[in-house]
Amino acid sequence: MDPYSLSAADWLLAAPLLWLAAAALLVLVLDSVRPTPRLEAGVALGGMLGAALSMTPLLGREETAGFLVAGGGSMLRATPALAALAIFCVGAAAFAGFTALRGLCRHEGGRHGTAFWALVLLCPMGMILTLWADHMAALFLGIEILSLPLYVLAALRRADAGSVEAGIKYFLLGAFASGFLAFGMALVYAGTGDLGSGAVATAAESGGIGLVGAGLMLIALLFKVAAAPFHLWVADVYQGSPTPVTALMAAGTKAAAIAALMRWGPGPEMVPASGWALLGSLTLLVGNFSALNQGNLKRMLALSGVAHVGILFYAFAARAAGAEAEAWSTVTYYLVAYGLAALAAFGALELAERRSGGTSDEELLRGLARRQPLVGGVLCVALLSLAGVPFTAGFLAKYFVFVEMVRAGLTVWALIGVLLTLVSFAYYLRALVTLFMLEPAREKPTAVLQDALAAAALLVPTALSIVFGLWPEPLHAL
Amino acid sequence: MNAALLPLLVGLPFLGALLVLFAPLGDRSLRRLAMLFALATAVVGGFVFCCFEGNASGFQFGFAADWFTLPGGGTTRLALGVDGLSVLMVTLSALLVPIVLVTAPGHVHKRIREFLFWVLLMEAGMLGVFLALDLVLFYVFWELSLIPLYFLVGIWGGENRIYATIKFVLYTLVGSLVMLVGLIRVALAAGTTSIDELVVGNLPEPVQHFAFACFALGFLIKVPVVPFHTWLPDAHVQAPTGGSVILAGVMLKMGTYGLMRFGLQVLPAGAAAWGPWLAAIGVIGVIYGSLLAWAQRDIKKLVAYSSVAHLGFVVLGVFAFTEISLQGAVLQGVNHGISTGALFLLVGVLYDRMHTRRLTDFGGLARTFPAFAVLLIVSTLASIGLPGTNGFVGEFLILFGSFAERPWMTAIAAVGVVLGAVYMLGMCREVLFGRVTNPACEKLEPLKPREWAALLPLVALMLWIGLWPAPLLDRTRVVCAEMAARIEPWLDGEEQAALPREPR
Repeated sequence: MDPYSLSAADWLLAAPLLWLAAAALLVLVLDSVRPTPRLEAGVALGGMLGAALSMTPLLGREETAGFLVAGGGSMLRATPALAALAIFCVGAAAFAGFTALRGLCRHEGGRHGTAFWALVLLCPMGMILTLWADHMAALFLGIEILSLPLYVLAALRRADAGSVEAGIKYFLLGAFASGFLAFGMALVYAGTGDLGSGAVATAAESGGIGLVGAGLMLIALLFKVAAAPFHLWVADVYQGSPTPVTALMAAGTKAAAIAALMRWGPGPEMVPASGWALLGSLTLLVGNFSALNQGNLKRMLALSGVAHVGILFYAFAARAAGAEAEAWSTVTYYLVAYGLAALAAFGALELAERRSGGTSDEELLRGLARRQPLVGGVLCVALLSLAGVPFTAGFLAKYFVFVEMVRAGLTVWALIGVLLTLVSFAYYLRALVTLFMLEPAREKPTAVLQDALAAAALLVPTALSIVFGLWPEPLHAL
Repeated sequence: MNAALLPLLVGLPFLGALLVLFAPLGDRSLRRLAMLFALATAVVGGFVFCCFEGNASGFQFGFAADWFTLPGGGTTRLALGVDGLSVLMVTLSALLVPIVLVTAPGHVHKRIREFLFWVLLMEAGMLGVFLALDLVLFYVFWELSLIPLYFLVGIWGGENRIYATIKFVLYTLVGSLVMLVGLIRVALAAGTTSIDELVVGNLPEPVQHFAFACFALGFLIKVPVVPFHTWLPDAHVQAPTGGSVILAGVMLKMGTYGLMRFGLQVLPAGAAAWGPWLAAIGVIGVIYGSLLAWAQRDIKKLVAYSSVAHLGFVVLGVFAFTEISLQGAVLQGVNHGISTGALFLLVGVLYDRMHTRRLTDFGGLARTFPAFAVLLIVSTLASIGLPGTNGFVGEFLILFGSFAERPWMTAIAAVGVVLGAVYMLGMCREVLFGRVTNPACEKLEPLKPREWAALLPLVALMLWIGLWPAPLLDRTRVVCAEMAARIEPWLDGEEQAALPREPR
C-alpha cells in the first residue's frame, strides 16, 4: 500500500479537522487584511457547519479507523458515539462563539480580539482529535490543540484581572498535566514499546515502569476532567474566564477529556469497579459539598461540574464490572445532557452578567427571573436538568447511569450515589430560590446590551435538553 | 376514543400550562384561559369516573406507546391506564384544581402567569402519577408534580416560605431518590417496567424485600408518617391556600397510592414482611399527630397536623391487608382530600380577611360570620367522621376491616378518633363561639361568590359520600379484593412452597 495515499476512511476522519483548520486560517488571514467582524463570524460558522456536516456519515458506520500505522493500529478511530460527541463539541464551540461575540465587541471597542474566531475554531479541532485518538501521538496533539486556545480564551478579557488570573492558572496547571501526560506516555512506551491504544492496558499488566506510566497518564486525564482531588483549579478558572468560554470548557473539554479517560484510562485490572465507584463517590462528595456554599453561580456550577464527573465515574465502575457497550451509550448520553445544560446555564449567565455588572454573585442575581424572563426560564430548565429532574435530559442521564450500576451489581454504591446526589439538589434549588423567589436586587442603571443573537443561541441547548429528555432514543441508541 | 381519553386527561393541563406561559394576554384573560383548561380536565376526569366499569378487573382506558429501550431492561413505554385504585384520586385531582383556581384571586396577587403555569403543570404531574402504567413514567410524573409545588410555596407562600419549600423538596427527594434505586432493582429483576405486568408477576423474594424498603421510604415520607412528618406543617403553613389544598388533597395521597400500587400489588412479599411495622407506624402517627394537633395554637398548623393523624389511619388500613380495610384506605384518602381541602380553604377565607391564623385572635364568629360557621362545622364534622359525612364511612371501614387482622393496633387507633373530635371541636369552639374579643371579628366581609363556588362543591361531596358511598365503593371493590387476595399467600409464613416463581 502506498503510504502517502489517503483512503476513504482517512478522508472521512480528516474532513472535520480540515474544515476547522481551514476556517481558522482563513479567519486569521481576513483579520490581518481587513478586520470585518461579520465576515469573520460567517466564515467561522461556515467552517463549523462544514465540520459538523462532514461528520454525519460517521454516525451511520459501525466503526471508522483511519491513518493506519505501519506496525498495526491506526491514528484515529471513530465510533458513532464518538462522532456524536465530536459534533456536540463543534456545536458547543459555535454556541460559545456566538454568545460571547457582542459582549467581547463591547469590551474591546467594537472589535473582538484578533484571533478570537481562530481560537474558537481550534478548540473543537483539538476536542475531535482527543475524542478519536487511537494513538498516543494523536492524543497528545489533541489535548494540546484543545488546551492552548482555551488558555488564551480564558484570558481574553485583558482588562479584567480575574480573566487574566484564570488564564494563568489554567495554563500553569494545564502545563503540569501535559507534562504528566507526556512523561506517562514515555514510560508506557519504555515499558511496552507500543504507543497504540492497547499500550496502556499492556503496560498496567506488565507492572514496573509501564505501570508508573499508566498511573501518570491517569493523573493527567483526571486533572483534565477535574476529578477530585485534582479539581482545585476548576472554580477559579471557570469563574474568571469569560462566561461563554466557561461554557465551552464545561461542555466540550469535559466531553473530550472524559471520552479520552474512557479510552486511555486503565482497565479493570488496574482500577476495578469498586475503585471507580470509590473515586466517583469521593469526587461527588467533594464536588457537592464545595458547591454547596459558594455565593457565586459560576463557581457553584464549576464545582457542581466536578460532582457530575463523579457520577460519570459510576458509569466507569459499571463498565469495569463488565458492561462495555452499554457504558459508551450511557456516558455519551450523560456528557451531552450535562453539556447542553451547562451551555444553557453559562450562556444565560453571560446575558445576566451584562446586566448585573459582570459577575454572577448571587446577591446581584436576586429576582433575575422577573427582570429577564427568558434568561430566568433558560436557567430554570438548565438547573433542573443539571439536578436531574424528569422531563429534562439530565434525569434520564442519571437514570441510565444508576441502571447500569444496579445491573453491574453495584446496588449499594448506587444507593450511596443517589444520597450524595441529593446534596446537589440543595444548591440547585437554592439557585432557583435566588433567581425566582427573592425580591429583585437594586437595579444598577447600566445600559443593557440587546443581544438577539445570544438569546436565540440560548434557546438551542435549552430546547435540546427537553427534547432529549422526552426522546432519548436517537442519542442513547448510538 | 377510549384510548385517547387518558392522554387527553394528562395532556389538557399540560397544554394549558404551555399556553398560559406564552399567551400574550392580560391577567384576567389568563385566569380565564387557565380555568377553561382546568374545567375541561375536570369534565374529562368526571367522564372517566362515570364510564369506569366497576366490576371489571385490571386497567381500563389503556393507552401505550413505546418510549425508549434499555439493553436488558425491557422497553419503557408511555403507558397510561386507570383502575379502582386510581380512579377516585384521578377524579378528585381533576376536581380540586378548578377549585384552587377559582379561589386564587383572593390570595394570589402577583406573578399571575407563573402561578397559573405551575398549577396546571402540577395538575398534569399529579394526574400522571395516578395514571402512569410504567415505572419510569411514574417516576417522571412523581417528580414533575414536586417541582411546581416548590415554586408555588417558594414564591406565593408566607413569611418563612423559602425554608419551608426547601425542606419540603429535600425531604421528598430523599425518598424519591432512594425509591429510584428500588425502581431500577425491580425493573432489572423483572426485565420490564410495565406496571400492568408487574402487578401480576412474582419477583424473587430478596428483590421484593429490598425494593419494598426503598419504595416504602419514598412513599412514607410523602404521606407523611411519623417520624418523617416534620416537613408537612412547615409546608402547609407557608403554602398559599391553593397550594395547601393541593398538597393535602392530592400530594399526600400519592404516598398512600404508591404504598398500595407498588407495596401491595407489585411487591406483596415485601409488604407482607414489613406490614406489621408499617401498620404500627401508622398507629403511632394517629396518636402522635392528634396530640400535636391538639397542642397547636395556629389554626393552619392544627389542620396540618390533623392530616398526619388522618393519614395514619390510611396507612393502618393499607397494612391491615383486608379487603374492607383497603377499601376504607382508598376511600379515606379521597375523604381527607375533600374535608381537609375544605378546611384549608376556610382557613384561607379567614386569613384573607383578618391576616392572622392564631386561634386566640378569633372568637364568636358564629354570630358575626354565620355562613362561614356553618361551612366550618360541616367540614369539621366530616373531618372527625361523624355519621352522615364521608369521614365516617372511611374511618369505619378502616377500623372495621383492620380489627380482624390487627385488633390491638386498631383499638389504639380508635382512641385517635376521640382525640380527633377533641382537637377539631376545640378549634371550632374557640373560633366560632364564645365572646367576640377581637374587634376585627365584628365586621367581616361576607363570603364572596368565588368562595361559595369553591366550598359548596366540597360540602356537597362530603354529604354525598357520607350518605351514599356506593358509587365510590363499587369502583374500588374489585381491586381491593384482588389486592387482599394477592397478599394473602405471603402472610402466615407458608408462602414459600405455594407460589409459582419465575426464575429471573
